[in-house]
Amino acid sequence: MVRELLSHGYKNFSRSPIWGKNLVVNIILGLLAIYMLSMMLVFGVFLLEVVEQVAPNSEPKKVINGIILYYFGVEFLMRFFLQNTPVLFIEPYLHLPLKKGRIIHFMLRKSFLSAFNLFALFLFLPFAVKHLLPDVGAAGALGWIGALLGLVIFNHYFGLYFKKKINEIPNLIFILLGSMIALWALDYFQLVQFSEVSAWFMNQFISQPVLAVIPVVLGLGFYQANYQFLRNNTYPEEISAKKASSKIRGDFGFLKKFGRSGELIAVELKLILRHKRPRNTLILSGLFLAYGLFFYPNESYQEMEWVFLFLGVFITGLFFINHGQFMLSWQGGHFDFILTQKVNIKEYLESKYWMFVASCSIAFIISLAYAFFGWKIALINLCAFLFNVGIGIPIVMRMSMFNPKKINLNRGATFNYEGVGAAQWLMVFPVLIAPYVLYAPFLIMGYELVGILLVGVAGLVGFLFHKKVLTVLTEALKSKRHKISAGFRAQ
Amino acid sequence: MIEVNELSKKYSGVEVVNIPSLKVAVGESFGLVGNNGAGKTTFFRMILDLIRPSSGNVLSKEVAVNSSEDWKFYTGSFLDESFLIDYLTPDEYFDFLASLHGYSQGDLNDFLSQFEDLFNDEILGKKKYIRDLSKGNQKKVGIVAALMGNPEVLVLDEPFANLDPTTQIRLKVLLRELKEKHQLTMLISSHDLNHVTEVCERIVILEKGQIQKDIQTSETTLQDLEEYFTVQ
Repeated sequence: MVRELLSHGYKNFSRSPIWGKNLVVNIILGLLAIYMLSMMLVFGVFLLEVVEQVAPNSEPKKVINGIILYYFGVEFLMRFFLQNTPVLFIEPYLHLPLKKGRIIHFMLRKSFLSAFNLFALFLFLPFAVKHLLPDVGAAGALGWIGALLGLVIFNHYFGLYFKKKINEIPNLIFILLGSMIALWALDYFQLVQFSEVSAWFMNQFISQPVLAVIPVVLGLGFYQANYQFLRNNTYPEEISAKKASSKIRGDFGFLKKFGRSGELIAVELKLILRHKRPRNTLILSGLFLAYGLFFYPNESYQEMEWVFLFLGVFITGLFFINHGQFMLSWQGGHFDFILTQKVNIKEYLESKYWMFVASCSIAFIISLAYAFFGWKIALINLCAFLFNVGIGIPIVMRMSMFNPKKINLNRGATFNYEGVGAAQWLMVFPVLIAPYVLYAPFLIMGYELVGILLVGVAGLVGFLFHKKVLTVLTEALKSKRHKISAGFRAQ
Repeated sequence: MIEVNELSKKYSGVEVVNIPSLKVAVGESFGLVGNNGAGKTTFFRMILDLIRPSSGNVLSKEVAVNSSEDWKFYTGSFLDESFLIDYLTPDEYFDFLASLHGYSQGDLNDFLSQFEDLFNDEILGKKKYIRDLSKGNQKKVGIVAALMGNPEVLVLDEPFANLDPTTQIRLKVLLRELKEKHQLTMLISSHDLNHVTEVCERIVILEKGQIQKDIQTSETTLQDLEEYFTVQ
C-alpha cells in the first residue's frame, strides 16, 4: 500500500505538466539543487574553521551552539513561507475503500522527506561528528545529535501545524510577527542573549544526553496534533487550498471609455489581478522600479554611466518584458475564444500595445524621481522609455508569437516554468542589446550624449509609425493563428 | 440501506440542502433530479462524507458515515473528476483500485473485460494520462472504477452527461442489469429525465435543497416530471 502511494507521489511529481516539458530547465534546477546541498555540506564540514575565521577571538564551539536557536528560528520562518502539506493529494482517495488514517499517516510521514530537514543535518552533523565526538565522548555527542534531530522533527511538524491553524485563526500571523519582533528586540537590546540561551541548552544535551528525548517527544507530539487535526478535517472543501475567494478584484469600468481596446485591456487587467503568476510579474515589475537605488547612488557606478541605459530600459520596461513575452500564452486557455469573438486581430494587438505603452509611461513617470541623482539619469530614462515604446514593445510582441506555450493560470507561481520556451530566453537580447547597437559606437567615439539621443529618436520614430508596425504584427499573427491555437489545444 | 436524518448544509447562512428525512431501501434504485444549484451534488457529497453537514447525519447500514468508515468498503461512487487520480493512466488507476479491492491480476482482467464495449478501445493500454482523456472517457473510467469490488451501494452524479448516445444506452442497460442481478442500491442524479426514469424506480425532485416530490416510477412519471419542470 505504502509503496503504491509512494509511486503515486513520484508519478504526480514526474508527470506534472510543469516538469516534464522543459528538460533543460529541469536539469539546470536539479544541478542547482545539488550544488546548493553540496555547498551546505562543505560549509557544514568546515563550520568550525569558518567560525574561527570570522570570529577569531571566540570559542568556536560556543558560537556554534549559540547559533543553533537562531538557525531554527530562521528555518521556521522559511518553512512557514515555502513548505506546504500536499493535502490535496488525498482528495481522490477519500471515497475509496481506504482508511483515512492510513493516508494521513502516509502523507505526514512523507512530508518529512523534505529538503528543509536535510539543511540542519548537513550544516551541523559534520561538526558534531568531527569536533564534539572526540571532545565530549559518544554519549554527549549522541545527546547533542539527538537534540538536533528532535529540533528538526519539532520544527517540521510544528511548522505544518502552525500553518493549518493559521487558516482557522488568521490573527496568528500577527502573533507570530509580533513575537518575532519582540524576540529580536530582546536580543538586540541585549536584554536576553539568545546565543547564551542556545549555548546553554545545547550544553545541557551534552552533559545530560537523556534530555535529548524532550525535543524528540515534543516533535512527535506535534506529529500527533497534525494527525488529529487532519483526521477531524478531511473534508476537501475545508482543507483545500483553493478556497473560493469572495472578493472580486477590479472593475475598470472607466476603461470602457476607450472603446474596444479599453474593454480588452480591462479583461487583461482582470486576468493579471485574479491569477497569482501574472500578478507576481506585475508586483515584481513594481519592485524593480527601485532597482536604480542600487546603482545611481553608488559612486563606482557613476563612473560607468553606460550601464544606466540598460537600467533605464529595464526600469521603464520590465512589465512589458515580463508580461509581454507571454502575451499569447496567458490567454492560451481561451485563445480559441478570442479568435471566434467579434474582435479583429488588429484591435486585439492594439489593446496589448496600448496597455504596454501605458505601463511604460507609468514606470517612466515614477522613475523621474531618479532625477534626484542627476538630470542626465532622467534624460537617459526618457530615451530608454521612448525606445521601449517605439521598438522594444513591438519586438517583444513579435517574439511572443514565436511558438507560444499555454500557461495554466490556476497553477502557482514559484518554480513554474510553464510557457517558458527558447523564445523567452532569447527575447531579452534584442530588447536589452538593441539600444546599445545605436549607443555604443557613439560612446566609444566620445559622443555619449548623441548616442543617447539617437536611441530616443529611434524610439520616437518607431512610435510615430506604430500603426504601420501594428499592421505588420497583425499580418504575422494572422498567418500564424491556426498553428498557435492548435499548439494551445494540444497541450 | 441509506437513511437521512434532519440533514442540512448551510454556506454563510444560505441553506443549500435541507432534508428532514429520507430512506433508501436495499436494492432500490433512487433517482435525484433537480435544476442546477438544487443541492444534488452537495447531498451526494454528504452521503460520501466529503462534506461535513451543518446538522443532522447520513446513516449507511444504520451507521453514521462520518463516524465510521465501514461504508467505504461496500460503496462505489463517482461524482466528478476529483475522484480520479488524473496523473495516472487508466490502467494504472485500475491496477491501484484492484489492489485496494484485493483483486488478482486475473480478477482485474475479468472485471475489465466486461466493459470492453463501453471502453470502445479508447481507454485501456493507450499510454495516456487520465487528465488527457476527453470528459466522456474520464467519466467512463470513473464509473467503471466505482463498480469495482461488487459494491452494495452505488452513487453516481450525472452519469449520462458527456457520454455519447451509444454509451448512454449501454450504461442504462448495465445499471438495470446490476439492479436486477445484484440487488445493488443505486443513487443517481441526472438532468436527463428520460434516462433517469428508465433506470430508477423511485424519483425524488430536489429544489433549493428541499424535497419537492417523491414518486415511484410509473408509466406517467416522465410526463409528470416534464410537466413539473415546464411549469417553473
